[in-house]
Amino acid sequence: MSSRDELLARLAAQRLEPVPLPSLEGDWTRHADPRERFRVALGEAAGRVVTVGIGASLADVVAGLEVMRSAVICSLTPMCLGTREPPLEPHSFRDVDVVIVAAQFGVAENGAVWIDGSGVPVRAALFLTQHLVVLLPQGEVVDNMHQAYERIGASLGASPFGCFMSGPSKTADIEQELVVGAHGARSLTLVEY
Amino acid sequence: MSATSGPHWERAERFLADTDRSRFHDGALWEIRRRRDQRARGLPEWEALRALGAQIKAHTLSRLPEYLVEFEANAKKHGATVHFAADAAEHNRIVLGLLRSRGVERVVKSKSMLTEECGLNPWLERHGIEVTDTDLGELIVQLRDEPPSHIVLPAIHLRKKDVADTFTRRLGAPPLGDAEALTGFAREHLREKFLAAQAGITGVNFAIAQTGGIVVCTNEGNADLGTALPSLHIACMGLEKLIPRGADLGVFLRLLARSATGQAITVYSSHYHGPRPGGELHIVIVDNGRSAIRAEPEHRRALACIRCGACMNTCPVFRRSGGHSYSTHVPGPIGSILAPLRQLDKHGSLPHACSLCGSCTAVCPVGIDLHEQLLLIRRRQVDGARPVPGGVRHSGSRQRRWLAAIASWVLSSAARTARLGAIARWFGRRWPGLLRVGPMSRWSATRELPPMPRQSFQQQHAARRVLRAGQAERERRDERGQVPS
Repeated sequence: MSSRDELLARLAAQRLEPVPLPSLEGDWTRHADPRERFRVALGEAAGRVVTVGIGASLADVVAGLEVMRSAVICSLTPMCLGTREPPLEPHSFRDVDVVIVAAQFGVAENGAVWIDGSGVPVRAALFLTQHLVVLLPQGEVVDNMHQAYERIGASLGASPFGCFMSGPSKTADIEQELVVGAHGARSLTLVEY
Repeated sequence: MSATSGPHWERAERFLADTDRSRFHDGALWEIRRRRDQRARGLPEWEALRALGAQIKAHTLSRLPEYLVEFEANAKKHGATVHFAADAAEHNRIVLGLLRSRGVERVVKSKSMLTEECGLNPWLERHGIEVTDTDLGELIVQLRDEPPSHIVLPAIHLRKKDVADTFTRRLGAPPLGDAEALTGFAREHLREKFLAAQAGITGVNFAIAQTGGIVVCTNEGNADLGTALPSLHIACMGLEKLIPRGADLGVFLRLLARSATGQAITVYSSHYHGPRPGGELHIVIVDNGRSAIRAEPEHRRALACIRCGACMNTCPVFRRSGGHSYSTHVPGPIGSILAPLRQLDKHGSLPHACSLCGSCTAVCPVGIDLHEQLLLIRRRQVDGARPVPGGVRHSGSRQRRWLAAIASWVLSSAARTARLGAIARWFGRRWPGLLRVGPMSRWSATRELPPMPRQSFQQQHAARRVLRAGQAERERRDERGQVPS
């Protein structure tokens, strides 16, 4: 018998009391101003938030960001221009300074954005780049993680990769001192448009 | 410097000999506990979430074989390959086989307590494969040939200077003074490792039966780089990592980072459903003693653990004694349950590294009755009962059994108790240092007995009663004298 079948047989032979699967309905915290709560939470996670004002264009605001003075910029979204076509080979992102990517929605309680892998042909783009610029439509903010998974719904698993990302890469592994920029992006700028 | 043998109290003594280090350790972990409290209080539904987390895990365990089959089928639909390993050796053989058949020589690994449990690194290295731990804390301890001392903060037992010396000695780094420069140096070193790796090994935080996906949470992004660059991804998980539905993640991701570090969520919570285009995903599901724990009604709840480390950060014994004082890869309260359940003779001292204060139980995000399970294991050691079928009898329990038998004989009679008390007071007054020699010296080495009184409590109480009765009588007389008749 294989280890698999042996294990399944061993588990099935153990008689356990049934425990019902609980409903996830609950009186979960909602925020009076989810967008403001999201901005504060992302700030706590060392992310920067820039809002495209009325009358301004997204492309102009992104082009004006300080990180955009870098040499190599790849845009994964047609909404903005980069300086180089995103490569198809993951390792080729090693000398990319900035990646621009679109997020689907933000989560007010923790400042995370959901990035569905279907918009990211090469996922190394998100992690190997030095800086990330994330675009988020204004108002696309849910209150909490329960709503977040409700919103993802059946699309979870439709693409091989999806990620909640909350700010730039960090570590506090040396004497608990927070250092931003461990392995992944050194900075994350979220542009609300 | 890592202690590799001896009971907890002996290893703890070694850690505590460096007062500055142990004070820093204690303070740093208490600060994390404080941040966790702040986060928990910031969520009115915190207790509801804990209860929900506990119930989802209890439900999953109750239907574990069904969920394993469901997960396997759904993961396969996404193109992942699912392997089952009965024990550590089989897990290691499977991983090595996958690497060898693809000619892999260089592997990057993100944090996985399971691979620590299985001793995967030394096994792969023995077979000529270079393994680089990529979590910064894990890299530091790997370079020092030490195990991690904490499941979330692997290098919390080290100071900046230790890290700088390690980087200089092992990686030829210039002398670096601050955490930012040290992290920057590690970033550059590891980027080369990521780019050169031919396979990435990760742990698994949650495996979703309904969708066949796995979720890996990190702050550094090391798991993501390790899976985004090489085309082979091997994910290793204990069978208790399963959850039924994708939406259950809403509960667990809210609990995990808040409990672990006091963050609202980890920086990266990555969901993998099958391999990336052109790549391979292999998921290795390991038993290694877990199914035996599932069979134990009193200990089953320990399998709900989501490895947040909150019980370690709050534990007064862990904070002071450090993770290397525990003879197991998962230290602290949860490790002091899991390890003795597997091998009581080797880890028998761990359940005693506990004051039964219950702080671990109070902070556990999935409601594990940690201190009660620790007490239960102790009780079974004294009774000589086997804690788990197939477990080993505790060899040192005879002394405790005798002590308990004598104590129960003395304490069951008031006269015997009074007599022994008189003898103990007499000895204690004449030789106050008596307990510091002989078989009790381990207990009394760091404790001073209070000065022994001449009289027992009962004698003192009786004397006071006589005194008080006299006083009350006088007061009554005074009152009568004052009231006009």
